[in-house]
Amino acid sequence: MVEPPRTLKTSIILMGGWAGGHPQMLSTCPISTRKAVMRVPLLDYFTLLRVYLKPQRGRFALMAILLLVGIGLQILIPQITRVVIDTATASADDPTDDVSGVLALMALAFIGLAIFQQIISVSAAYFGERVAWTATNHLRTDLVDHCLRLDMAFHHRHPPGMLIERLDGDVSQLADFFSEFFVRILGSLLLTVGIISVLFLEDARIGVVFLIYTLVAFYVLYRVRGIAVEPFKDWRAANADLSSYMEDRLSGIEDLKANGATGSVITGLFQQQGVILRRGRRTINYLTALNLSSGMIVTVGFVVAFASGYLLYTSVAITVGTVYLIMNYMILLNRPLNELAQQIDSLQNMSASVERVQELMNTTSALIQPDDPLSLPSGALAVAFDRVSFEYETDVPVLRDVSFTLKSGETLGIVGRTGSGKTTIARLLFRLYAPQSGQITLNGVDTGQLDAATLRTRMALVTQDVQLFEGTVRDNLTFFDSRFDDADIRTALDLLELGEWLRSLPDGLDTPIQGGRGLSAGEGQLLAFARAMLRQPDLVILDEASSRLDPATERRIERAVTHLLDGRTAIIIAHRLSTLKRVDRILILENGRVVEEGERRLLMADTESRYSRLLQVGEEVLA
Amino acid sequence: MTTINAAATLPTGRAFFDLIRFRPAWWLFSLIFWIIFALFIQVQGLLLQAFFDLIAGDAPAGLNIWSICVLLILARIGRMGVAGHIAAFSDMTFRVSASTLLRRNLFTRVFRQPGAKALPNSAGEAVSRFQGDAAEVPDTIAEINRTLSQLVFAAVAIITMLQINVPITLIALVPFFIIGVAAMLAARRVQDYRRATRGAAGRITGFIGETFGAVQAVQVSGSEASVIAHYQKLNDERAHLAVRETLFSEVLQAVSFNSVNLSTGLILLVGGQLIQTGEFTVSNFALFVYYLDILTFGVGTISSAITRYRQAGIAIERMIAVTPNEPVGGLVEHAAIILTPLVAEPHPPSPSPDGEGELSAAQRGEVSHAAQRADSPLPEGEGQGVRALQRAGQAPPLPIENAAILPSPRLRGRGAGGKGLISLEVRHLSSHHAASAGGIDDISFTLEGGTFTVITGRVGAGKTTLVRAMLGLLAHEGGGIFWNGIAIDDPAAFMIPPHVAYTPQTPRLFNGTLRENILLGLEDDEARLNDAVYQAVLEADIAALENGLETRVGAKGVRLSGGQMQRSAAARMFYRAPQLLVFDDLSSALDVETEQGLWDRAFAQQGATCLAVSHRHAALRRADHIIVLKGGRVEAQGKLDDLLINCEELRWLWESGEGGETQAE
Repeated sequence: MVEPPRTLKTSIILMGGWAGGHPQMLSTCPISTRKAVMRVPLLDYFTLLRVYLKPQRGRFALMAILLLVGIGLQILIPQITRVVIDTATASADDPTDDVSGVLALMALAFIGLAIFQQIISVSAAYFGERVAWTATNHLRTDLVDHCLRLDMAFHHRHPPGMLIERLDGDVSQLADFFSEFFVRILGSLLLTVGIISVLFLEDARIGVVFLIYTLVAFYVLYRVRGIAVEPFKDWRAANADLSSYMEDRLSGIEDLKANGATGSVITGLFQQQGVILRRGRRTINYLTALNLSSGMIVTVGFVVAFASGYLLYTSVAITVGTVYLIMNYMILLNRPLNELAQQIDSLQNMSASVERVQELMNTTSALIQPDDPLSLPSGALAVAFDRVSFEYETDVPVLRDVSFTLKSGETLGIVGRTGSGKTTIARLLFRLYAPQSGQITLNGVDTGQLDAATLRTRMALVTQDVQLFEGTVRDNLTFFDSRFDDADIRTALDLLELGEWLRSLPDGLDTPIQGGRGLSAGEGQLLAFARAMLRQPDLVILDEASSRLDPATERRIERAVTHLLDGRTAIIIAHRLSTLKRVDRILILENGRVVEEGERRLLMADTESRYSRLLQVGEEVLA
Repeated sequence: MTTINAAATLPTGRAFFDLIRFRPAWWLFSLIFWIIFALFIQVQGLLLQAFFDLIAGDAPAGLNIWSICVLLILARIGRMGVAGHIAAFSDMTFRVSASTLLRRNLFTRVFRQPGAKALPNSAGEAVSRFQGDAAEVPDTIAEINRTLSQLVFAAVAIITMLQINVPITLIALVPFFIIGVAAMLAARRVQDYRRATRGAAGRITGFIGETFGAVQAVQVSGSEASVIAHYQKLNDERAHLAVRETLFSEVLQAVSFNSVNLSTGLILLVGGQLIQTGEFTVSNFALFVYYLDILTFGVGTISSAITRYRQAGIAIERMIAVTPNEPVGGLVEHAAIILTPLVAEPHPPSPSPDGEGELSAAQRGEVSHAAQRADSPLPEGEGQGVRALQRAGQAPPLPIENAAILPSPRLRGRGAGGKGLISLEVRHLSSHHAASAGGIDDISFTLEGGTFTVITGRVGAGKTTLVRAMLGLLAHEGGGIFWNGIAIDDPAAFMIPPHVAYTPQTPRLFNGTLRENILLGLEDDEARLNDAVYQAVLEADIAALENGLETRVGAKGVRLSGGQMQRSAAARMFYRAPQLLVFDDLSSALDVETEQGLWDRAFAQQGATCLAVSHRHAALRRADHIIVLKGGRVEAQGKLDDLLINCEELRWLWESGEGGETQAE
């Protein structure tokens, strides 16, 4: 009869699970995170609903039917109890009347229907869950797909942590929306209306009393439901603060010990815990107020049932069984009332979630995809920049009128200080951004006319900041693409002198690399080369590592570069003079402008060139 | 995870007992008031019974419909407004206090480990133990109190039922308990299912984080479709597990509700007949059904208390495994904890006594113990909190406390006849660690006061291991360290400020202001702070920051650049004015000029003694003494000019090092 509501966990954390069988102790603290007003028009809900529920209309309808049957049974079962009580008490007054058979039949019917009702409720829950997960997973995939294709400017504004919240957190909120919300709101409403109607049929006066009680109780529950939310959120925030405090300090033990600062960590711990205690106590105060007021609603319900039942009984209008029935319905009524009061909050949370999800869906990439993309002939690519200008933020130009050409198979070295725009050239080539003016062409085709995804399959980028993730070696190299078989991967790794490393791993390609932990910087770099190698690109862009590796590793990387660049067009963003020895052309950038560009041998021969001066300065520094 | 010695386990019961003894009054309050809370439910049941007796014209003495209603309301207030409130309040206080103690002990135990290998796993992994497991144990104790109160209620309810009618009680309760126990046994699987679902959910959030963390790599490799396919797979997996979990727990819930219905049906079956004969009444029926409803919850809570008791055992094991070498009992050892807001900042301890006895104390690694015993006199009215805090923060077993940090003025400079560092000798030092390939073997060298010594070598030569072993941040196996000729038995306790300070290769900053990060618990002294900042070549950066020293650096210092972080850590070291400054490789984050500037300023200060790991020419050229490591052993040591002639390894490093330093930028 008493079903723990879904916010149970919240109260258990604070009040303990001991609820003494009264839902009011438990049903208290909806963790609504935002007190949003309903801003999203109902229409948006229905649009989302239609799109994602349509494929499972059948399942949804079945769930609705099961729910209705369940409600009917819930109203029917107490009627049996009444009949038993009345039959038994009536026959007690009249001992000649043997009703044992009828009573036994009734009791068995009670048991049978109760079991049936549970089966119905389990089935409804099962279908509800299936509907919700299918729909939300569909939505999740669509969202991730959408976000993955957005431009880098978007990703700089939305760090992964925020996207986790949007893509999984908000969507989970919507899981309610897809199934349980309608089911619960409608189910609760129907149950409430059903109970009151049956009571009206029983006796109009009882019906009126219950109707008034329902309205008042709902109003009170609605008003008090949120009072503990703020303190509870504060309490949780204090716990989260403690957690990050501890994580922060635990990752710096070496620094703390070596600087004799361990005592201050304990002091800080006590301060954090003190905040938790004070906020916890404050939350308890609010929870008590909340529990008391919602508990009082139940008690008042009993008082109403008792008083009205008593008055009607003494005026001989109803039987003892009916008095019991009234009480029974009163207990039954409290559940949908609580449910309704709470669902209003989830509705608000959902409206905020729907809004954020839609906002995300409506974000369009700053890059315009051509409607009718051109194709790019295979083979090494020739690159040309023609008066390209670009800025990330308005009026902060990063590239100004950059022009250069690179024939297929040639290697270009780009040199320049930090912020001179070197990396931006790479990003523009990959169409992670589009230039504001000018044209970038590959084999004479404007990159704006090409499909960005196709374009990217033809090129590879090796950055100094190697982005590895939790996953196996294989996953890190292939990005889950089954197109690459193990033999390809092994060949690539062997070529990069990582064959031995691979054989040293316990599970070979299936060995997890946890976001690169346990890999040396050099190995990380080489894996990035392997990633590129695997894709057999026609154009390689290499952002050389600026931080120093040990000489042996550097030699290995140099050999890897040689392999990777073999027969390919390449652009190297160079951080070392030695690297420039391998390039055919040199481009020197300064504040986004090309200050020198040309064939390396010619520039070297010209003692006035910046390149030859750079070489001299370099040697000076070296000496 | 490290295997735990079989004998080295802490029985869950003993841990519970020790924690209860830590705050016995709050624990007892919580128990008593939960029982009172439970007994109020009994009162409500009796009033329900009284009502139906009243209907039957059989009202207990003095009760009419109105008094029953008033008593019902009073019982509700007594239960939720008074008993429940006091119980929950005590509960909360007990739980926060006990978890604070556990966390404090965890920290002190971790701090006793060699600093570079203090945690068996990642910090993130350890946090789950510091946060989750340290809360789990006190929470379980509190839950047991609530379960006990339920048992009291159950006992009272069953006795009441038996007094009314023995056969009906048995008929109602026997199937009820059989189903309840069965459900309880099955409930364990819910835990497994839930864990599986959570695992799947973790993989999904992890995957989103990883994917979008590497979004550029995904985009440039054109792998969007395959990544999404994988994501879909993960989602389907979670959906499957979540549906399974829901279905199973719904079935379980249905079974336990049905046990109420089944029992109610049985009471109707038997009781109906007895009502006819007058042996059972409607009021008894109402009371029985009321009890059954509540007892359903009882069976559930007992089972969950048993499960949680077991989980608490696991939590204790996990906390012990953080520091497998520490005595297990120390986890629940009592210590002072302060949860009241501080009235004053922690009082800086009195300067460490630096009489002749200092080094002999240091030999035993007890310098700071001595400092503590010199019990700093607190001014009257400074407040209990501060005093207790000092006790709590500084009492053994935390010898490396603030007491040791502020050097007395005499220790700050190295005067010829002063107490500063004259020589530091490392003899036959060896250190090996399974996890790291590069150990060191039989390292010996002498470092003179006021000189600059550079350790150099290839990656993996053992440079960082050597520095860490010297500082006690890694355990060493053989050999010794001698400070002014006296052996240091516990380098971790001695090789800290005011003797030594250290900037690791990748220093860690903490969430807080830049000022807090430099002070790290020390007393604020503006002039010294400015000095430290200047020495660390950080003054221009601070001037450029919007809030200067009050700038919040973010978690792990993310708002600063790598170079700023390294120099902030250097400032932290300079602020401590140690006799020996130790820098692990600065070159990864500092450009040549900045590193040069840092050395210039460090040596402008009279008498600084420096030990640095570096392969930069600037450092090597300036060094008074160079130690070349190769494969964990000293390849050669001496002056640069000599080594360039005699030592091939150094020559190789010197030459191949060129490319790295000459950045084209």
